[in-house]
Amino acid sequence: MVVNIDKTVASVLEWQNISLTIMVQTRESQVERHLLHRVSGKVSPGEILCLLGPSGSGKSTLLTALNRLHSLSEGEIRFRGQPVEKYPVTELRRRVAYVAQRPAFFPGTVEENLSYGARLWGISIDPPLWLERVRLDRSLLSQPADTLSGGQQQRLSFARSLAVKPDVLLLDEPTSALDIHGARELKEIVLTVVERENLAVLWVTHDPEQARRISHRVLLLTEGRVSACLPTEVFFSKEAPEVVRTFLEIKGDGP
Amino acid sequence: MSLSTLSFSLSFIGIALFLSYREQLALEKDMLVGTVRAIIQLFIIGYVLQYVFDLRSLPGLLSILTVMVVVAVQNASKRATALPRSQSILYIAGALILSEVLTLGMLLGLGIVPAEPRFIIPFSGMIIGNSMIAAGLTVSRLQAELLNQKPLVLTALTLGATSRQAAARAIKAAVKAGMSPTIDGMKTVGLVQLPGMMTGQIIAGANPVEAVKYQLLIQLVLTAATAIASMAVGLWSYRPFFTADHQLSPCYPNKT
Repeated sequence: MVVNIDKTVASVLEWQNISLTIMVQTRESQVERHLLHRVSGKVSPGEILCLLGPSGSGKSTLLTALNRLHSLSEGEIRFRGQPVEKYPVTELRRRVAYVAQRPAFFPGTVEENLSYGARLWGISIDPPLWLERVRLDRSLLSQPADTLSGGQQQRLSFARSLAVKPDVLLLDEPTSALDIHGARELKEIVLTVVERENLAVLWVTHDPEQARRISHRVLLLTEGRVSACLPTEVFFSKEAPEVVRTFLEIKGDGP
Repeated sequence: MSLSTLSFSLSFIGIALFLSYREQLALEKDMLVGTVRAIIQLFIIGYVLQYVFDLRSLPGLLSILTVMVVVAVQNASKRATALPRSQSILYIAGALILSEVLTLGMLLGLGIVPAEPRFIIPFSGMIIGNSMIAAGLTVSRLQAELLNQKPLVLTALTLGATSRQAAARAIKAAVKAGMSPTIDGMKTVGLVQLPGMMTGQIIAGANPVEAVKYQLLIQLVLTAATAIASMAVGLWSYRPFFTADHQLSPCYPNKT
């Protein structure tokens, strides 16, 4: 199921030494908390990079930082070789699309929700076609979006983000709320789209087995730091560094 | 009405005091303080108004209007619990002044009311007072909506919306909330209650139809004034909740 990747293609999104520190108010004083500490990485068109790590390790924060929902404390993000500050932030968010773990829908129909982003950008879309791409029945178009099932909502949210024509997808545990069947179906939908559109994907997952099946490379985060960033076959092999094997053993899924 | 007749009206407060005492509501102190304050404040403003009317001085008029705006801003900005104090004062003062200048300017400019303190001050009082309520409602509703709609605001931002676009729904709901008392009031005026101004005019001996004309005028003016104040507050005060990079700012309303 892994998409073939042309290694000669330059990275589309690259982040170097990015840190994100917030001030947390405790009873006595303000203390600094490092959500991300000098994290580096990159992702290329057609490539799926899975982010693994214990909860609270900064996986989601890295995605939202790359979508520029936070201001960095240090470091640099480059999109197509240019510092992201060169792009209007809204344009960057369109091209580096973030799909939240729990989709939120505007009051209104499936169609209105599907075309929300596209309308912002004056992109004309064919709603039935987009539903088809995420394997939703076109009869759903006129239904209120919040009447969809969990799996349908996840797919609608994915279609809504794709409709703004991004180059990079930041997926935050898209299958975590779904049953095995729903998760497999969403995974297939994503892989098909990624291959056809040649998208670069950062995919947060808590499931090493899923990462092994879908990704080209795996980035392991621990307490906001990169513990390892390896090609998938190495990450899950006996040559993997100690920190990786420990992580996988704790997950009960190691080699 | 003579002062001695007026003093009989204190017996009304006596009824309230008696009920509070008998039912142990413990409101006696508040009622007494309120009564004394009302007497003092109203007589002071009465004499001040008389003085300004007689003087016909512009500085006197302006200082009364200023006091009105300052008190109204003070009151309305209390509702802006999430905004930094300086910002809420700035936006609400701006909204009240804008609403006062535009509506009063039209009243005077079109020659609807004469440019005399006798007209300007009561009209301004009603314009600023109603704008104050509208501004306060708008800002508190805006904060509540932004808090409620946080996941939607974030979704809009991630799809490339500007903060204005992301906050559009919240702003719309807030402006509606700010204007609704005036609009509801317009629908039931005369049926449920006779407005104070009209009542006052009729008691003072005006022809009821003449009083109605003024009431209609003020009702329409107030609709415009609250619309201006609500929209100005709605369109300005969402800004501090976002950063220049269309991110949520630290003062974005949060559950505490």
